Order: sequence, then C-alpha cells, then structure tokens
Amino acid sequence: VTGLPRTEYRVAIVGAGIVGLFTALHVVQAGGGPVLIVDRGYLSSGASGRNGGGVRQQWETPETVRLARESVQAYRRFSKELGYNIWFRQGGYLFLATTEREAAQIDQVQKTVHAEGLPARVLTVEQVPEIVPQIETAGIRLATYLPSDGTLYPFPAIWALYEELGRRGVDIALGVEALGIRSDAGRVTALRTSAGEVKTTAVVNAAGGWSAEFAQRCELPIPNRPTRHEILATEPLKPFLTPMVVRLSDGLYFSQTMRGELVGGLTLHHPDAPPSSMPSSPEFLRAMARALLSLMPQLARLNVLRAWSGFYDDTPDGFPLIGADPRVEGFVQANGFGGHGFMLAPASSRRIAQAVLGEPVDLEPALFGPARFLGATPGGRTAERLQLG
Amino acid sequence: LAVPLRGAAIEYRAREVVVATGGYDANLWFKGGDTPGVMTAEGALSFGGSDAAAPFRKGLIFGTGPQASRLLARYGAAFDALAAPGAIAPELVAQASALGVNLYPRSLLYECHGNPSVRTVRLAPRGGGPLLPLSVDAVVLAHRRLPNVQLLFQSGARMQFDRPSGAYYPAVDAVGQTSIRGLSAVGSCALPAHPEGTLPGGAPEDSPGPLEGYYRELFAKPRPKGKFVVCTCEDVLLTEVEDAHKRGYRGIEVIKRHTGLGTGLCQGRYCVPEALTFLSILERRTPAEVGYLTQRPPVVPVSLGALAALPAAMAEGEAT
Repeated sequence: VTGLPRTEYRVAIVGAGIVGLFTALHVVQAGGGPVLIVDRGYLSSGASGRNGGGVRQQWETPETVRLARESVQAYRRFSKELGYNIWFRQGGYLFLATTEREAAQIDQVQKTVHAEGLPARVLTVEQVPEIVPQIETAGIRLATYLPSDGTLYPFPAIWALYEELGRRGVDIALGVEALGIRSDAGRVTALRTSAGEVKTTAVVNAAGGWSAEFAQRCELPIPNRPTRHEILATEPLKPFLTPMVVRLSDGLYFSQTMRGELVGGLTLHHPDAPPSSMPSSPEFLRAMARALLSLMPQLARLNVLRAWSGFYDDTPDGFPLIGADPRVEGFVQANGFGGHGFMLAPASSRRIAQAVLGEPVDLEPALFGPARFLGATPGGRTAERLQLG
Repeated sequence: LAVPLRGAAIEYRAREVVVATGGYDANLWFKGGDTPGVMTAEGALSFGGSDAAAPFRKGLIFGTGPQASRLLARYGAAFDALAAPGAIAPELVAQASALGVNLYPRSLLYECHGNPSVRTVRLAPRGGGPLLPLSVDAVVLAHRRLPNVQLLFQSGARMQFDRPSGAYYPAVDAVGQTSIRGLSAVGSCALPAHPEGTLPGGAPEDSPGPLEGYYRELFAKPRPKGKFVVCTCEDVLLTEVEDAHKRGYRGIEVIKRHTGLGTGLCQGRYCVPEALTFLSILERRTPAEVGYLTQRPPVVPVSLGALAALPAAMAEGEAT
C-alpha cells in the first residue's frame, strides 16, 4: 500500500524541476507512460524557482551552443504551445571582459557561437553604450553581444508544464521523498519513496542540487557537488535595460524583468552548505551592490527588496550529466546543469527522454554521458567553464 | 545586526540581541480595499502634526482595537461611524456616542466604493440580513495589530502561529528568550495581545479563531461585482488566488509565486497574514499548515548605495 496513485509506473522521475517536468512531457508525448514524478519539496522550491531566468546561447563549446540554440527555439514556441505566458523576451546577452585573458576568452566564444550560425558580435568598448547607454565603460576591454539570447519568467514555465502533465495523466507527487531504488540482476525494478514503493523499470535522477545525494542513496555515486549561489531583486524601474548584462571578472549578471525589477547575482565562493540550508548573506548584498554600482553608479538610490539563494548542481567539467547510467540498466542521469538547467532544459530533456525510452541519444556521450566519470583516468577532456553567478 | 542609516550602513556586534520591534496595524480583505481613502489607523494618525485636522470629514473606523480610541480622541467628530466585527466595549461606546459617532457592532466590512476616493461603504450584519450602505469618505482600519517579526524569522528562531490574531510570533520563554541563544523578543512583537474589544476571542489557541470565522462568513456571501484586490503592491486579485487554488496549487509559497502576492514593496507584510487565513479556509487545513513565507533580507527595502557601504568585516562573518 502506498500513498501514490498507482503501484506501478513505466517511468519514475525524481525531481519536479524544469528538467524533470520537461522530461516527463517528452516521455508521454512519445507514448512512454505512465509516468510518476516525485519531489520532496513544493513545486518551484528548488533551483527552477530560484534562478534569474536567463537563456543564453553563448558558450565555449559547440555542443552546448547547439543545446542552447534548440532550447531558445523551444522557449519561443512555449507560450503558444502550452497556453501560459512565460514572458520570453529576446533582449540579448551582453558579455563584458575587463582583462586581456577574459577578452581572449569571449573572443573565442564569439567565434564558436558564430560558427554555429548565430550572429554573435564582438563590440569595442565604444560600442557598448549602443546596447546599454547607462553602463560605465571604464575598465571594460571588450564585449560580445548576441541579440537572440533572452530572459524568461521561470514560474509560469513550471506552472504550464505542471498543468499540461496533469492533463496528460502524469502523477506528480509533491512532498514525497525518493529514498532509493531496488534492482535485480543489474536492472531497476522499483523506486522507494517516503510514500511507499512503486514498481518501475526506469528511474530518472533529475534532482538538481540533491542529485548526488539521491545517487548515493541508490549506491550509484556521481561526482556532482551542490554549490549555493545568491540572487537579489530590486524595486521596479521603468523599462530601460534591454539585454542581460554579464561580467566575466566577478560572474556578475543582471537583467530587468518584464515587471521592471532588476534581478541578478554574482559569484561568491560559499563553503559547502547542506542543500537544505539556503540562507542569504550580508556578504552577498554588499558584493552585489558594489558590483552593480561599479557598472551603473546611478542606481545608488535604487532599493533592494529581497535576496535569496539556491543551488547549482556542478560537475567537475562543467557539462551536464545526461544519459543512461551503465552501472544499472534503467537508471538515467539528468542532472549536473551547473546553474544552466532552465536554459538548457527543453533540448536536454528531449535527449533524456530518448535515454529513458532506450532510443539512440542525440548527444555526444563522451561529453555528456555518465561513463565519463566512471573511467579509471578521468580528465584531459574538454571543459565548459562559462559559468556565471 | 546591520542597520542602514542615512545612506550608509552600520554593523553592531553584541552577545545579546533583544528584538523589541513592536507591531503594526493589520490590513483586512474586502472588495474595494484598494480605494484611495482606505487606510490603517497608524496611517490616519500619521497625517500632519498632533493637532493637524483630520484628512477626512465623514470617516468610518472599522474595528475596536487599541487604535480605535486613539483615533476618536485625535479626530473626534471627523468620524461618522464606528463598525466592528464583534461587540463594542462600553467605554468605546461612551466615547463614540459623546462625539455623535454612529455604532455598527457585529458587522462585516462587505465592500467599499468611490472614484477617485471612498464615497460609500456597505456593511453586512453578522449572521445575515440586508446590506447597510453608509456614505463615508474614509475607511480607517483598527481591528487588530500584527507583530514586526521579520528579524526574528530571518534569524531562524522558532515561530508559532497564533490563530486569534492571524500571525506568527516567536516561541519565547518567560523572559523572552527565543529558540536562538542570545536572541530575545519582548513587547508586542513577542506576545499576542488580545485586548478586550478586538475581534471577539476567548477560543482556545488551536481552534479556528474569530478571524477565520469572520472571513468564513464574508466569503460565504455573494461576491460583490468588480475587482477585489488582495495585494495592493502588485494588484493581485482574489480571483487570481482562487484560480491558482482551482488549478491545484497549495501552500503559501506556491500561491505567492503563482500570483505574485506578497512580492511587492511591502514584501507581504499587509497581505500574507490575510492570505494564510484565507488559504486555510480554501485548503481546509490550519494556517500553520498553509505555511509561511521565508523572510528574505533586507528586512525593509535598502538602497544599493547603503548595501555597498556595509563594512567588509561584516561581509566576512556569518549572517547575524
């Protein structure tokens, strides 16, 4: 007897964030149900409800650019297809480099992105005010700009998927914790949860910042580490800021939402904190205020309304962890997005669904697959280091 | 403890922190509550100097909390009427009658009309009966006080929901010690006060309080026409909260994110206490089970300039 609607599912997904929800949609669209999603929190309690809503296509590696480009296309269609306005706005991403090394890095990024057919541009410091006139340009060496990058409002995307999955018969059990799996002869046979055990032959680990913990409970360790990042929102201003502005030197990012608030964060290295703890720090408020004012001193009198934090699920090489885990048949990894889950979810989830359904996965396994962390000599591969916030 | 002061910020370090942040006047949900001319008692009392004229001529006081008597003493005959959800205490009856203020005990504040500001209010008698229209030019809320507990929430102190007042308070011992060592709470931010003459009380703490009874009766009535705004910072409508419930969303955290309620300038100070009680009725569980909003720093809006001026020493330490 369980507290769940059925005793048996074809697919059980752990994590009701953007990746878990999108994956469920792709699975049921392919006729792969019945599907169960469990999440120990409330809907939007994890990083999917705590991010800044940026969706960029400027990356260091062509493979990530392709996932991002496909995701942008999906978000362009999203509001119409799912009947929820996610306020997707393609205002571009403006990257700012302040050192020679950063300038070389974003110059290389621009070449990679351009080679994938996206019109990213290199801007001189004199051209930056054409995009954002309010920026204090002293200290900036070089910038890149891709107008088709954008921002969205994360919550309605979650609601839209939640309701669409409900209409399609997917069971979403909130406040239910995944405790582990059962397997027999190297195959998944069941998911154990705080509401009881359900039979299933496919379990997807889409638990975001809690992925490593869940994998450990399944005795299938992965090298992911949750890292806490902070973000703040100000009172609203009349719309003035078109792109998301990012600065490599301190990982600063900020954009203006459709309701006028500035939302943004920057990189602070927090010592490991348990994923249940998501406090905000005065250190962040100070550092973020100073960083913002260094670029836009005229914001000094703008009030901060609130700050909060969430978890990036970081992998050692910066690529997400996507694909069937070779250690147990039927266990699929769908995590390690390192703060980019929302922006890469549409395209990534299609491939996660392929792995769930046993179809060939349209993704470079050496870069994204779980096997890359299971070899005797990891390292020496490409890395995706373009992380902000 | 970090305190913004004239555009800069000061950090205080202490072994003992005593929070004595007092309280504020609660909002009340009713249709037309966003009409100009609707204000809290402290809003009304803050106009001009202590002998300034009333900012209205035919005001209505709603409620018999400690502020009601203060309002009458200050503005006297500028009030036409005093209505209350329950009985009105004899001293207040005497004070109001001497000023010629009409009394409407046992009333629901059903709706308020007026453009550009309040012109009419309709009261609904408790227990049923025809609506009672009153011609007034202001509605002053004096029905209950809420505690300023944002600092206590942020500190992680254990909080408990007090159903009669519809608010969270810190759990404290006899000397005000909270669950956090070195952090005490004293005064009206610590102890629910249920003075004689507020919403009728007397019920045990774990049973539905008079506030829940009030809202149950109000929302059982036919809904007045027009927009019923429940979060005035973000213009969130009651129908949007009900729609989110119908779509299956449960709990204050999710309702906040779905509707935007509580995300504006006041950060939920005026709408979330009412929302907790309202949702507890919709969701058929206690307000404490509906949850509470994580209180995000800063406690009040603070400028980027002041935050940038926070001392670096503080930034190196843990949040205190």
